[in-house]
Parts: sequence; C-alpha cells; structure tokens
Amino acid sequence: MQRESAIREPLILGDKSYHDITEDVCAPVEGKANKYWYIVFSISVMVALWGVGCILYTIGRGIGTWGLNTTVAWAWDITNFVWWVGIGHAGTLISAVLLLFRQKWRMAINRSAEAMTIFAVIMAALFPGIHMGRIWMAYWVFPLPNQFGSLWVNFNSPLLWDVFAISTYFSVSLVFWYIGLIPDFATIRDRAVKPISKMAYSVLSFGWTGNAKAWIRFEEVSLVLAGLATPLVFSVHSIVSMDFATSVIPGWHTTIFPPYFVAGAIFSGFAMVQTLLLIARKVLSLESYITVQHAEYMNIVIVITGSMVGVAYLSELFISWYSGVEYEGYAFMNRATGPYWWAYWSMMTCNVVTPQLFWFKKIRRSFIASFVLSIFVNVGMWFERFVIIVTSLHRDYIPSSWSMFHPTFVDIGIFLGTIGIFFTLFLLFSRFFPVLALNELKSILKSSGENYKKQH
Amino acid sequence: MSNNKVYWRGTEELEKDPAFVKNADKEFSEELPIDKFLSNKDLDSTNTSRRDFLKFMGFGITAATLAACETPVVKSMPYVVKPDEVMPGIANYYASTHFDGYDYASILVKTREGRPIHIEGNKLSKTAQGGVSARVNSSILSLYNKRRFTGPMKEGQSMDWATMDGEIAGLLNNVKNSGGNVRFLSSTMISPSSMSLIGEFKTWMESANVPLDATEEAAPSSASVNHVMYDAVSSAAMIEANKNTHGIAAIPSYHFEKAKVIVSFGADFLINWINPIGFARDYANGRNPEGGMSKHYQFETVMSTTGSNADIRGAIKPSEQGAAVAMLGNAIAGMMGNGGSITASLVNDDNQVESKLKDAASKLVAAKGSGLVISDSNDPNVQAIVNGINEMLGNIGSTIDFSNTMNLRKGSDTEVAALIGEMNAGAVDLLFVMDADPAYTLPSAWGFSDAMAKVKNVVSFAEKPDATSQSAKYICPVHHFLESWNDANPFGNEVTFAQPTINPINNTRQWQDSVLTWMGSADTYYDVLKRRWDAEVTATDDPSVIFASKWNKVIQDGVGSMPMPEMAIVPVFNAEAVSSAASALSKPIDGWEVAFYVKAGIGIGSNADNPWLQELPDPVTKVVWDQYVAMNPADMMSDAFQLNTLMGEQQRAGMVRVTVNDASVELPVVSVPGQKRGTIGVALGYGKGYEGDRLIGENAFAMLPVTQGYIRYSAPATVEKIERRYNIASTQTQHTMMGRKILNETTFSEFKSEGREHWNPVEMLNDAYGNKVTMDKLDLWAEHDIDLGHRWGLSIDLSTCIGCGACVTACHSENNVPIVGKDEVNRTRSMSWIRIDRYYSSDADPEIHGGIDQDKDYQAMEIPSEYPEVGYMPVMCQHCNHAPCETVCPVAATTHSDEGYNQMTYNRCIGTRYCANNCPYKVRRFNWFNYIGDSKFADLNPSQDNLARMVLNPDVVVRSRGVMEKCSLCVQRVQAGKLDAKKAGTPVKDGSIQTACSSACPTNAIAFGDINDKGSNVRSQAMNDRAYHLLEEVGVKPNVWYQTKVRNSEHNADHTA
Repeated sequence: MQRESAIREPLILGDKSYHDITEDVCAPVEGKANKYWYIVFSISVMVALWGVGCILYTIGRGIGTWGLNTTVAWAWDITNFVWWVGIGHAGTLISAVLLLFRQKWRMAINRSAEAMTIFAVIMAALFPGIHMGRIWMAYWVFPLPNQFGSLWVNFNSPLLWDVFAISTYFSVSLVFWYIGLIPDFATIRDRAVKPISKMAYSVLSFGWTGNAKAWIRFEEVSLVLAGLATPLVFSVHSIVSMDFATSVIPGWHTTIFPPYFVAGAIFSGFAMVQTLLLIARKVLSLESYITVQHAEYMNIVIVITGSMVGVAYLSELFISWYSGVEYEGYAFMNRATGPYWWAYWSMMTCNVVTPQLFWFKKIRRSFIASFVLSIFVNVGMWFERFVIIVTSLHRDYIPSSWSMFHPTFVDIGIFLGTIGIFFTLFLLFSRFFPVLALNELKSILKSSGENYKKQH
Repeated sequence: MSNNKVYWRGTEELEKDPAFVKNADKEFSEELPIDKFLSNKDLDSTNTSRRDFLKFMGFGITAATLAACETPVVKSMPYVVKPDEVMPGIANYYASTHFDGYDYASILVKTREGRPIHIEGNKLSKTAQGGVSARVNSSILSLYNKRRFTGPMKEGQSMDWATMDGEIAGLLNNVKNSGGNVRFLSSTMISPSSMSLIGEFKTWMESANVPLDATEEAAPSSASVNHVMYDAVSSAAMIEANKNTHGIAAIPSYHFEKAKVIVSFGADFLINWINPIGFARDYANGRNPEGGMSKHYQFETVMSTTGSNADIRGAIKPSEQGAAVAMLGNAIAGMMGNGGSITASLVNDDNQVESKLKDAASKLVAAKGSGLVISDSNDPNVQAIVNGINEMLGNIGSTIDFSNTMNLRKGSDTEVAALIGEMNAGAVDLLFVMDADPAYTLPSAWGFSDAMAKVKNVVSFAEKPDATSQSAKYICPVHHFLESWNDANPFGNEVTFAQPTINPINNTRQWQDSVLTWMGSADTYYDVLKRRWDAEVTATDDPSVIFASKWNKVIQDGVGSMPMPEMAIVPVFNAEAVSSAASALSKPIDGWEVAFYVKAGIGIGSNADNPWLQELPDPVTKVVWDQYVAMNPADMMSDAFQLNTLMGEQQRAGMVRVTVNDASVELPVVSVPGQKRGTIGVALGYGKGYEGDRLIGENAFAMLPVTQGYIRYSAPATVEKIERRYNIASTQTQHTMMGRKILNETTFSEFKSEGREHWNPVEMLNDAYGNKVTMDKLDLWAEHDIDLGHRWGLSIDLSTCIGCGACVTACHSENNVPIVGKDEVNRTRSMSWIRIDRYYSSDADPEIHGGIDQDKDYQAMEIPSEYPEVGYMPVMCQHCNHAPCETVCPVAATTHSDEGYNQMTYNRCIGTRYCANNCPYKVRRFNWFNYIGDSKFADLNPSQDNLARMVLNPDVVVRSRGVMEKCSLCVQRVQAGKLDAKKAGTPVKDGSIQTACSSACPTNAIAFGDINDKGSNVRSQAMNDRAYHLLEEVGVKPNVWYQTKVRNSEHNADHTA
C-alpha cells in the first residue's frame, strides 16, 4: 500500500468508499439524464446539424461557397483543423505522459480528456477532407496500390505527413482510451439490470473478468501504449506545423514552429479540458473527484505552456527583424499593425497576457476564474492559427496580389457545426461511458482520499 | 412450252451414284452424330446446370433490358464528304481583316473543324504589323454572341429576305421614280469596294429611269443619294486643321519609330488613337534601351494607358490643352528664335507642367526633324497649332507623312450634323445605317434619335440589337466580320482582305449583298471584290505570282497593295491658318471638368456585351465589369467629397452625381492617381453591355458637348457626392510596390552610364560560411536536368510592355479560361492565367521612421503619389525549376517536366490548394465553382452557352470544379510545334512556336522560346544585363525572365533655355 505525505492535499474529497466511487461514476450512465442535459444536447444537435448542412452545401456546390480566394487559399478551414488538433493533444498527454511520470491526479481527468481528444481529432480530420476541391478523390492521399499505373503519393509533401501523423495519433489514442475503458465497462456490465445494456456493455468490456492476471496485463498494455503515445504527442503537432514551416511564405517559413506548435497544442488542450471538466464537475456532480487541486494543477500547465508560447511569439518577432529579410520583417510588422491587427492583439491578449494571471494562487484556485481564463485561451489559440494562416497569406511577396479574407456564412456554419458535433459526442459520452476512470480512482482512494488521509 | 430442262445437284446425281441415291431424300446426306453427341459422357460432366441456365437467362434479360434503356445521346453531324482542307485536330488559319469603324487589324483566324476559335495578328500587314489588341482578339467571341439577330425584321416582326428585298426595292423605286433623298450613315468606311458600291448605287439611283414606254422621254431622276461618315470618337478637327494648314483633308501617317521625342497632348495612341496597334509596335521599336530610346512626354487629364507609359507626364485640365500646346509652341519658337508668342497660361499648375513643357520644347528643338507632337483634341484650332509646331520643327515629311494618309478616321462632324438637320426637316426618305450605332454614339445635343423618328424608313444593318436598330423600321442584319467578304485600305496603298471563316451562323446577309440585290444586280459582293482585285491588286512580296492566282494569293496573305494615283501629294504649309487658330484659341476654364475617355477593353461600346472584354481589367485601374468616375485620390479625400479610396471585397465605393449641362449620371468613384486634380474622367462605351441582367454603366456619349460644330470630349461639370455606395470589383487592390524589387526599373542615363550592378544587381546571399554567393549556388534540392533537350521559357521586356491587356484576352481565348463575373473578381477570384500588375510610385521614404515605428513607413508606402509614375508587369506561372508548388502537393498533381514546365495534371488534382498558398507569385487559380454548370455563372461564362462554347479551344481541356489551374506556357502549342518540326525532320526553329500571349503582344514585349537553343531570341534576352528573375532571392529558379524597365525620365525641372 502506497502512502502519501499528509501535507499533500487529498485528491478525493469526502468520505468515500470504493462503493461510493462506483455509485458516483455509474450514476449518469444508469440514471436518467436531467433537464439541462437535454437542453444542452438539443442545442448541440441543432448546431451540429446546421454544420452538417453547410458541409453538404460545400460538397455540393464547391469551395467557392467559402470566403477563400486566390491569395488566401486557406483560412478558417485550416485554422479550425489546427485548432482542433491542438485541442486533441491534452488527452494523450494527460494519460500517457502523466502516467509515465506517475502523476496520480491525472486519474480524475484522463478519461474525459481522452474522450475529448478523440472527438477533437475527429473534428480536426474533417477539415482536410472537406476543404479539398474534390473530396470524392480524397482517398488519393493514401499510398494505395491503384490502377493508375505508377501513380503514387508525393512523400515530399507535408500534407501527406499530416495524413500519417493524424491517422497514427488517432488510432493510438483510440486504442489507449478504449483499453482504459474496459474494466470500467465491466463494472457497468456487472451492475446492469436491463438486458440490452447488459449485452451492450458485455460486448464493450471484451469479457473482462477482473482477475489479477487481467489486471497485470492491463497495466502492462497501458504502460506500453503510454510509451508509444508519448512521442506521438510531440510528433503530431510538429508535423502539423511543418505544413507551414516547410513552405516559402514569410510568416510560415519558420524553424521555431515545431516546438512552438507543440507548446501551443498542450496549452490549448489543457484549456479545453479545463473548460469541459469544470462544467462536467458541476453537471455530473463530480465535485469530490475533480477538485480545486486538479484545477490548480492544470492551471499550472496552462501558465507554463502559455509562457512558452509567449516566448515563441516574441522570438518570432525578434527574428523577423534580426534576419533583415524584407518580406519576413514586413509579414510580422503587418501582423501587429496591418489590417488584421485585431486578430494579432486578440491572440496576444488571450494567450500571453491573461494566462499570466495564474501566477496568483487565488486565481489559480478559483473555479470561476479558471473557467473564464480557459475560454480566453481557447479563443486566443483559435486566433493564433488564424493569424499564422491568414495574415501571412493575405500579404506575401507580390503586393499586387494582396487581398483580404472575409468569411461567409458557410465558413462560420461549419466551424460552429464542428463545435456542435463535438459537444454532441461529448454529451453522449457522458451519458453512456464512465466519465471517470473509476477502477483506477479506487487505486488511490486509500492513499489520497480525504477521510483516509485524516485517519493517518 | 414448258421448260423441261433438268438440273442436277452434281455429277453424283447425273451418274446415279448408289451412295448418293441411298441418301438422296434425306435432308442431311451425311449421318449426323447426334446420338454420339448425346451419349457423350463428358456432356453430363459439364456443369451448366438448370441454375446456371437460369442465371444466364437472368443475365441475358437484365442485360437486354439495360441495353434498351436510354443512354444520353450526343448528336453530332459527320461530314458526308469531308472537305479537303478540314482535318480533325489540325487547325487552319485564314487571313482576314478586322475593322469595326474604330479598331483596325490585319489578322489570322485560327479555325478548328470549321469553327473560328482564335485571332492572331497578321505579320504581313504594314499597318498593324502583326499585333492585335484586346478588342480585336476578343471579337472572336462576339461571333458566337447569342444576342445577334437571327434574321431580317420589320417593326419587330421576323421576315424573310425575299419579302424584305421586295419591300425595300419598292421603297427605292418609289424614291427613284418620284424623287427623294436616300442617305447612308456609317462609321468611317475603309473598304474601297464598299465605297465604290455606294458610288454605283448612287449612280443607279440618280440616273435616268428607263421608261416603260419607249416613246416616252427618259426623265432624270430627282433622287439624291449621299453617304455620311462619322466617328464615334471624332478626329474631324484634325482633318479640318490639316486641310487648313497643309491643304490635305486627311490624317497623315505617323512614324513613332523614327521619333526621338514624342509629345502627346491627350492622344492615347497606344490603345485608342487612330491606329493604336501599329503605333504601339512603332513606339516599342523606338524604345529599345540597348539601341536608342525615344523620350515620351504626355500631357493629359485622365491617366491613360499611353500616359502611364510616358517618361514624363504632365497632368492638365482638358480645357488647358490648347494653352499647353500654345505654351509648347511659344517655347519652341523662342528657342528657335522665331519669337512667336500666343498668350496662354494654365489655371492651376500643380504638376510642374510648365517646366515639363519647356523641357519638352528643348528636347524637341534638339531633335529637330525627328520629333513628333500630336494631340487628340477635336478643336481645329488646337490641331492647327500642333501642325504649326510640327512644321516649325521640320517633322512633317519625316515623322509625319502626308503622302501616305491614314484612312482609319474619315468621319465629319459637320456632315453628320447636316444630315441630322435634313432628317429633322423630314427630307430624308430612306436612311441606311451600317457599322455604326448613331443613336448611341452621337451626342444627345444633336438629337439624332428624335431626328430618326422623322425619317419614314430607316434600314438598320446591325449585327445585334442596338439603340439605332431598336427604333429602325427595317432590320437587315449583317454577318459578323468573320462571316463576311471585304477589303480595306487602312493607309497608303496597303489593302487587306477579309474572308469568311465560317458559314453564316444566322440568317444574315452582308449589307453589300443586300444593296446589290436591291439594285437588281446578279452579282454577289464576292464577285465584285474578286473582279476588282483580280485586276488591280499587286500581290505582296511575291512577284512571281502569275496573274490568274493573284486573287488567291492576296486572299491567302490577307494583304496586297493597290495602285496609287500618279500625282504625289505635297503638303503646302499655310502659316496664316496657324496664327488665326492661335488667336481663336479658347481659354482654359476654372472649376470642375469631366474628361471623357475610351477604355482598353470596352472601346466605343460596340463589343460591350463581350464578357472577355468586360472582365479584362482596365490597364490603369484594374477595374472590371463597371463604369466609374476616375478621380484623383487627393480630391476624393478632400473635404468636399470624403470618399473611400480603398478597394476590396468589403470596401464599397462612394458615388457622385456628374452633371453636364442638363444631363447627369450617378457613378461610383474610383481613385486614379495621376488624374488631374479638379477633374474627373468618365469612360465612353458603357450603358450598352450587360452582366447577366444588369445593364453596365451609363451612356456617356450622350453627354458629349458640341462646340463650334465639333464633338468635344470634355466639358465643365458639377460633381456632387451622393449618399449611395457601390461595389466595384478590381483585380488589384494594393497599388504600390512597397519598396520591394518587384518591377525593377532604372533611368536611361543610369542605364547608359552605370554598370549592371548599379541598376540590376545580381541577387547574392550569404552561404553557411558567410560568403556572398549567387542564388544558384544555394540549393536544397537536386537540380533538374535543365540543360538537356528543350527548356521553354519566356522573357518579358518591362520597358516595352504597355499594359494593354491583349495578352490577357489572347490567353482567355487560347486556354478556355472561364469568365467569373464581377462578384467573383471582387472576391479576388479572377481566373486569368496571366495578369498585368500595375504599380504606382509612392512618395514615401521607406526609412523615415525605421525600427519599431516602421509600420508608419509601410503605411505611407501603401499610398501612391498624387501624380505617380506607373509600371506594368505581366505575371504568369514562372515555371520554376525549384517550384515550391511541386513539393507540397500530396498527390503529385503538379510536377516538373523535362522541358522546363511546371505542369499541372488536372485529373490528379484533389484541390488542397496548398500549391497556391506556397506560390510566391500567386499565379495559381482554383476552380472555386463548376463554372461550366453552376447557376451563378449561367449568364456570364460563355462556356455555359451552347453557341458561345463553340469558341472553346478543343486542344485545351475545360477544367472541372475543385482543381487548380494555371499558365501552361501554352503546352498544346509547343507540342503541335514540335510535331511539325518532327514531320519536317528539322529541329524546332526559334520563333516557330509562340504562346498566345507572346503572339498577341503588340509591342513584342513577350518573347517565348527554347532557352537551351543557343541562337534563340529568348536566350539572348534572358542572358543580357537587363534580365532578372522575379523574387530571385526566394531561390525558386524560374524559367521566366524579366527585363529591367528603363525610363527615359530625366528632365531639367527649371529649364531656362
């Protein structure tokens, strides 16, 4: 039995027994959803449907329904793609990296964070698909044997690297998430009374018996997958950043991009986890498990990664001046003072300035402040990608081609739509899946549970 | 008697062979192995079971049913007898002539499978010298205009030709018998045969009637026939002034190539004035920095294409033109010791015009006999002084040639005014209108439409509905010029021919044929032409052509020469006329003035419904699909207007109301740096074309004032802001170069005195060791094998590019580039494969603030000068050897060819647009919509119209939605050229392959060829000192070179000579 120092704050509050944990986590799955769930779910589904409508309109009519143009050939599509991929970083980081570092506090949040990762990556993967002029030819990006003779994909293209990076990341994350779910599904299965749900959870739990051998293998697989997933956390966003870094466009062609993007991804991912969990905590009555301690830990990650991002912004600015390259210098001057100055300063404020408030312990430990600031980060990180993509493209080398980008209702509809789909999936997850890793939580009850700590 | 012959089946029957007899009654004489077959064991072992039978039957029925379903039927009409000259896949070229009363060009028409699809210049012509203009090469699309009349009409009702002929012949006979006036009204007519036809018609009408009764005395007819010519943009004052000062009532020919100093007062001679295509080539020939370079001064109101190319430009009010000409005359006279002085002064000289005029005078005097002063004024007094100046400088006879007159402008303002007087008096019984739309192009002050209502019978020879045909009683629609026979005598003794390149699409008839029919002649116009020129023409450069085939030879060449009258025309100068003109010179006026000008695409509006021309960006403003008020940005921002000078998707233009006399128009305002302060410019030729259902602009011809009998192209006006806003679409919304080396330029004196490193330094970068090296030493990628085989490339001379846009429309025509309309252009989605970037100079100092405040410098650099210098730069795909687009495409849809192309594989493209983002030149064009099917483009893109899509080039695929496209360096032409060379068994000859843009360029600014061909023109240009790569420092190694622009722009600001 592992012992934990008494001065460490408990991770499970209240007088909880193993059974209480099971009851608390299974309650949303077994009970009936409340009114709020239905309201939020209806709104999400409606927004999602609107988004699906916009996507179908795009596919039916052409990319011309978006606000893109000859000069700015990527805008909200790739902004949203990178934003969602970034959000999709937190889950794996929390479950894999923190597992390797034996951070026990991850157990309260890893399940939802991973779910969020999966859903965010699905949303992200949507955009490279629908932004294609001919989506019906999308399978050509895979190196499939084909009847076109020697036609093969272009391995030089960062977009192709994206295909591999995203699909690998998605499959590993999915497997990791699912492996973790198996014992918890088994718990629900064992408690299920209705035949259909019993059958469904039996299938989902893969015949989990819960014997010691199963647990040993479970632990081993988790560790192996954590080892596999950890480099992916760093590789995915590095590769996404290479879409820009390997190009010749001033503002894109930057060697700092891989680390800067990874830091940004973790930053935005934690912010999204924070946003979601602070809601889930209240709505699903998980106050005992998602504590102020958890919020604080996440805020610390946010302030650190946020500062890294800030340093990256400033380095970029400095290097653009120091390089003496005319185009590079202009690109960054234009970001800050050109027609899109408001996007740049929104980004700077939300990503660099406001997260610094987390240096104050009071703010760090306030749920309200954490929630508000996490929203700021989500907004700021969207603007970061918008700034990188649109303000670099709209005024590049040849001044005669300079232009502006104005989104259409389809652009906006698709972006909101993906948020709708994301929340729809997350809400379904919260109703049918155990939102906390209940079996793992039990492993720390006696070391980090509040009442157990008091007893010692 | 019955036939008792017996036939045997063979000798066996005849001989009653026993073996035969035995089986004679059997159907099959030999035993059939049926039992053997049925008893075959293998038969049972075959596995065609009952189930299989059912399967086969099922398949059979299904297949038969499916086969019976209707598949889309594409009807095509095969040749029953294939014409010899038509070979599917092989283009035929026919020489022809374009003249619509405004633009003249001798052309070659490319036809494929009997369809004309492209127009190029005919190099044999001395007048146009192988160039074309945007208006000329776009005229091919007008052939397939669905708005054209499909047959004759009377009072709006369709009619057949026989009835029409009967009616009009009846009308003519009435006039012939009972007297009356028949009038022809046309734009300038340069066809000698048409002119003589009208002459014959006149003789026929005015001659005595042949009496029915032989005993009666033949009575001379009292009918009168007259032919009046006018020009929509009149040069009548020039003809009048030439008559007064030099005794020749015609326009002389001008030699811009011989002129060392060119001073133009408002004359837009590169795209509009008289013979712009030929002038542009001459002008370019005289501006070769390596050879000699002429110095071009332009004093004008609106920033014209010509003015934007001038070395020194002075902005003057339109009413100041007379004064400016007089001041130039004074200065020259002073310098030459002639002392003449005309009192003249400018109202507001905010552009140092006076000093520029003095400078021009000194240069003209220094280059005596090889200067050229011209003016577009329609004021005979101004033109007389211009003639006086040219006479004083001895330019007449050297750069101005009165012995070879230009016939392209012969219209007379006084005659057309007289005709309108006659019409108003009810004295005209029959009015024929051809090649002109007088109800549209004549100033409303003359009241042509009202006068027309008083003519009993108006016969319109219109091609398509226009203002005149709308109120004409009879419409006898004519062929498009590509369906017609004709001849033309543009200048001197040159005669060029027009021949049909397609059977008439509609039930139309050339007016010449109509007139011949009405005269009762059995001839067709073709007969008339052939008879005449068989006898008269001298074939061009081939004296060996025997007499009988002269006609064939000139029709093949399209060019011949005609005998000239023996006596030489000698101009006799009359100084008296000049001094009287000087004393009658009108004074400049104060207050706002409007200058009416002609645009490169729309011209005088005759092809305003041509979408290629509407979508052709104006050379200076880059605005498409709209008419607007051109105003200096400083005026726009002044307190009186406070208008938005920016352009862009969400920058709506402010509007003003322009009132001239009683007429007013409300138009959006576009900022045009260089427009004289206190004046505005309004383009003619609008109010005629449509974008879908939207009538574009207003007819400014109606607003033209008439002073002393001459139509004037400027007027005092009131300009007031109105509270409406309007979307203006422009292909370029940022106007300056931001201090970058994009369009590299230098001055002529620097070019001559300094080395290349001074004005076109080779781009050097630091390598890893800090050594400066050239770009080709810094490589991340392995080099393509560029020295092997062909390496196609372009060299573009920025010194001679005049920005006219002929290459843009040529490219549209050659490469089936879609038309996308104003809204899409406004969204920066123009599809042109070649664009002409126009940059204004800026006064801003790039380093006044520097450092952290550099944004202030940048913002200042975005604002063009009030009176800027202008540069043009055609940009198409640069076909980089290290193309950034190629590396980023995930599916390898864009790749490098062995011959230097960056090639686009449309059917592999999935449309990620990554290539377009990574293109430093932004030349890639994405198919945002299905332009050939989407409803948004139904009335815009010619490819959606069944008739207009006949203009598509079958060698170039029409791209589908969702794929990227871009300049292909006309790869289809190169392939065809290589095949020709292969068939001939020779290497590809330099110059034998031309891209659409290089062949269209009237100034030869674009050279195409094989860089690996040591003797090629393009190689010698690419290797010379003026050559540079656009954005060389990016290291993409383009196959397109630019030649540094050289301006001959030094001038002594305070000239006191």
